[in-house]
Amino acid sequence: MRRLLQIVLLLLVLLPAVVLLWLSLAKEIGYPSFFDSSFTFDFWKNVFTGGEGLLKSLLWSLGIAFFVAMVSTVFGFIISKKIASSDFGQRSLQLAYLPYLIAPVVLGAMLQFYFTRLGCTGSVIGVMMAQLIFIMPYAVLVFSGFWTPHIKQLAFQATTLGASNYYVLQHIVLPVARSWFFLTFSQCFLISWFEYGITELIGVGKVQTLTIKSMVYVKESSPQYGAVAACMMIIPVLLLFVINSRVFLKKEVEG
Amino acid sequence: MRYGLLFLVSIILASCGNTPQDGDSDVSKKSWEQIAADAKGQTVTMMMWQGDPLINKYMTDFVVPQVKSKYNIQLNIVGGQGNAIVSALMSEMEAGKEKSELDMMWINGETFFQLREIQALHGPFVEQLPNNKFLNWENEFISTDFQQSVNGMECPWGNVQMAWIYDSTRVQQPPMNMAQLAQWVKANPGKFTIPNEFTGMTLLKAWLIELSGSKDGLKGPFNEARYKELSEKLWTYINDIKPYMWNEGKSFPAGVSQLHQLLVSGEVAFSLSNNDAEVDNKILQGIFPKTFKAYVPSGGTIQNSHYLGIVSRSAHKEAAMVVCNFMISPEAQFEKMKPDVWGDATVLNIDKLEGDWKEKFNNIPGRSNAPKRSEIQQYALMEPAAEYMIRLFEDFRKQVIEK
Amino acid sequence: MQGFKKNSAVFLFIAIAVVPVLCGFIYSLLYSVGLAGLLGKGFTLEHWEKLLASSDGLMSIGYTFYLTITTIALSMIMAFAYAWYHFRQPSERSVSKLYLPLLFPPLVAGMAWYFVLSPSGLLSRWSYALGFIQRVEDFPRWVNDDFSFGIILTQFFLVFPIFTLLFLNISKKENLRELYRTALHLGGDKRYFFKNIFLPILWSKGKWVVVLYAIFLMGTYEVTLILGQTNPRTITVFIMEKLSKYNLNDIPQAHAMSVLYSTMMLLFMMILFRLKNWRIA
Repeated sequence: MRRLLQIVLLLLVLLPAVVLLWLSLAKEIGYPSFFDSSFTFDFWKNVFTGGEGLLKSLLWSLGIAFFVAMVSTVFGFIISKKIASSDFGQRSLQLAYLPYLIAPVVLGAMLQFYFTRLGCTGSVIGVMMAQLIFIMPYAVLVFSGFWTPHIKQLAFQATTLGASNYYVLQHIVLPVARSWFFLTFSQCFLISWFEYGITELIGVGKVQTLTIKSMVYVKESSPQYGAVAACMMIIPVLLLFVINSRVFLKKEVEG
Repeated sequence: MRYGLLFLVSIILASCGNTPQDGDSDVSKKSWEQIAADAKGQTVTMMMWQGDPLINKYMTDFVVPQVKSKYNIQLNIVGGQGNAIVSALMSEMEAGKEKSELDMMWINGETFFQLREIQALHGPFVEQLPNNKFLNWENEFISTDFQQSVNGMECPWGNVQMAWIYDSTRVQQPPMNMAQLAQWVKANPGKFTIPNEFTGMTLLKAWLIELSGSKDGLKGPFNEARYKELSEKLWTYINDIKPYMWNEGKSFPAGVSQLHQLLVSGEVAFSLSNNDAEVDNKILQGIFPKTFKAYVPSGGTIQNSHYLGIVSRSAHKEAAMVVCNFMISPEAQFEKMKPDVWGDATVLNIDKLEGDWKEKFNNIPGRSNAPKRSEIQQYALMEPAAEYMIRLFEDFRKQVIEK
Repeated sequence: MQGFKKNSAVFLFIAIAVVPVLCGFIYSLLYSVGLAGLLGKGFTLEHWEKLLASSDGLMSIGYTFYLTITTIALSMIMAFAYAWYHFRQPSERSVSKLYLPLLFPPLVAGMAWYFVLSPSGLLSRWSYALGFIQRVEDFPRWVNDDFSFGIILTQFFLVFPIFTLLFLNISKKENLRELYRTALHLGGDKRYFFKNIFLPILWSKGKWVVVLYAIFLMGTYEVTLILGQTNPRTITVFIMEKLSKYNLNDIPQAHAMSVLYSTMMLLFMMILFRLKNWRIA
């Protein structure tokens, strides 16, 4: 029974990946071919030669996601700390849910209106600002779980024993917070990396992240091109995460 | 820290500037020489649908480098079509932005109608283009867009006719009119559906015209009484075959790419395309098997043109005009018409062309699985007024989907 | 002033979280009564009347709730079960696979599951190869189906791993294993521990993430568009269709729906915050 459950779970997780790989490589996808499929790299080739600058898009995507995640994480850490120590902060934390109460498609349309007014559309900075509006509160929410009474107590004790704020931060808080930084950063990075609607609206198509380029294929084109595009969105983050978690986990064990 | 944040915010806000303006505002009074001279060095942003790798390749590998080397114009292609264009321009206007982020775009009928509703188009400008003299204005499928006279407000770019696509190994004799289709659908349950979007509505328009009994059944401005009479027949017809449609008519594909996929995998027997040559293009890309064919039923399908429009608040109208002019040049149109490039029919009158262009156009490698243009022209129907489409959309939901 | 300085970061946070949303809400409200937008012709309640009179608008609200509640309930039950199972027999390898779904954006997940479940999809092909079915038509309908099975499974795929990882993380952080050992040592039984300690602690620490994901699910668009039926549709699909289907005069209805939706969510959250057990502090 347990075995079976494990297999079902494994299938659940792997099936979508399998189907995407197969679609992106199969020459013919007419029913019922699968095991007898012959393979081709043509769809991959066409996507790379068909529209210029995929590599550039990849770099833009990485850059934007990295910056947004960085700022959000740092912001989330600082603000959540202040909130934890503020008299009315805990209640203000409720407000972090607000950006999610508006349907994302409408949030995009209305942000477009205000950003156009400010003259921020069509630029990378505009896109990053728009993303920060809903990613930063999320980072605060994630980090708010870090400031348990235990951590606060620890920091407080160290301070009363004469440690400077800087010392407390560097030697007590940050080491404990390392996994939280990783968690928050990676989640914010993913949200930004996959962000489509708002980037398209605020970027007016001019900020061509990898998601923007891929989504057109996924949405409008044939399943084969869609699958190639989907792989292009997933594989870079997969690599990033494998590397990151290896390095990170190792450090954690050593540390 | 507070000041640091203030500083950061002000830097960010300051870095969001307005697009610098390169050209003069009154382009309509300039001579072509002046326009061409002013266009040099400008950057043009063009918004277009980017869902087809071959079309993208034509733009990035042919048009972009050509306008750069010939006219020193940097052409930026950005993705977006139909409603994305309308909403981008609309929100700019709602926000009172003086200069648009976009300069030109690929549009057709319904977008033309909407952009005119909100007065977002620059023009008339087409008559100023030197290559205007080659355009086939005598063809009413080019000079009229959704029953609206083009009047130089948009520049014709290509011409297509809706075609049905099927697998010749599975369907030997495809139905040629609505009555035959109804029979076929009832005999082959689950194998036919209508996409609930633009292409599907274009099919319904053709059916409305077929039900009227005359090719000119919907000619002229929107006519409420006529629509009521014909659409009632249409809903009766569709609801009659609905139980025999794909998924028992409980759902309809959200897009034509989904319908293509259903055809490839064998769930349905027919797909639709707004481009009569698409089947060849898709076979070349390996997306469709070689047994797929396209045809036009004798009941007729809508033929329409797609156009290039210039944004009224564009800061680079001169360069946009030069790009338009290049895109309707014989060489650009010829390249676009090759089946292995795009297969889009030309909007030029081939008889008017100079030099050996006429011969070149007449010798473009033939279509293989797509029907010949000369054969389907007789079944071409004009686009009815845009209101028909809007009403069909609403009523298809009320009268068919929700029933 | 001293108070302001001390709390300046909190104020900044409030500004970032509240101002854009408030502006958006006001904009939508004005749009829905004809006071904003290019085609607005002055104050009118016409769009609201249209929205409230149409059955499909109200139905979309009910349908969205159905999908969200089913998915969340299913994901939570399975996540509790899996966390409990893993809690007693921990293994790094079985957890690591749960990270894979996190790399799927909703649109891609929707597309992939469509090709797994559809009558001509992967499972159907395997069934054919194994001789279970003879034709495409023999395969049961799991996408665009009456019960929205495809949507629920896809959303489950996206949410279940997050809940499971969250619960495992909480059990680690709260030192539940230690507690478990002590409980067993003192003669408590497994079931008692699960019911009275394990579940309550996971729930009380994790409930806000659950709520957050419920809100996310209410707002998803792509998955329901690909895998759902054309009718009923979810709130976001309703809004998008009104926003983008050729009839510019329908746009105010989209904004009216959005105001309705946001108000409902706001009321829901406010009620939650009032409940004693749900206070964040």
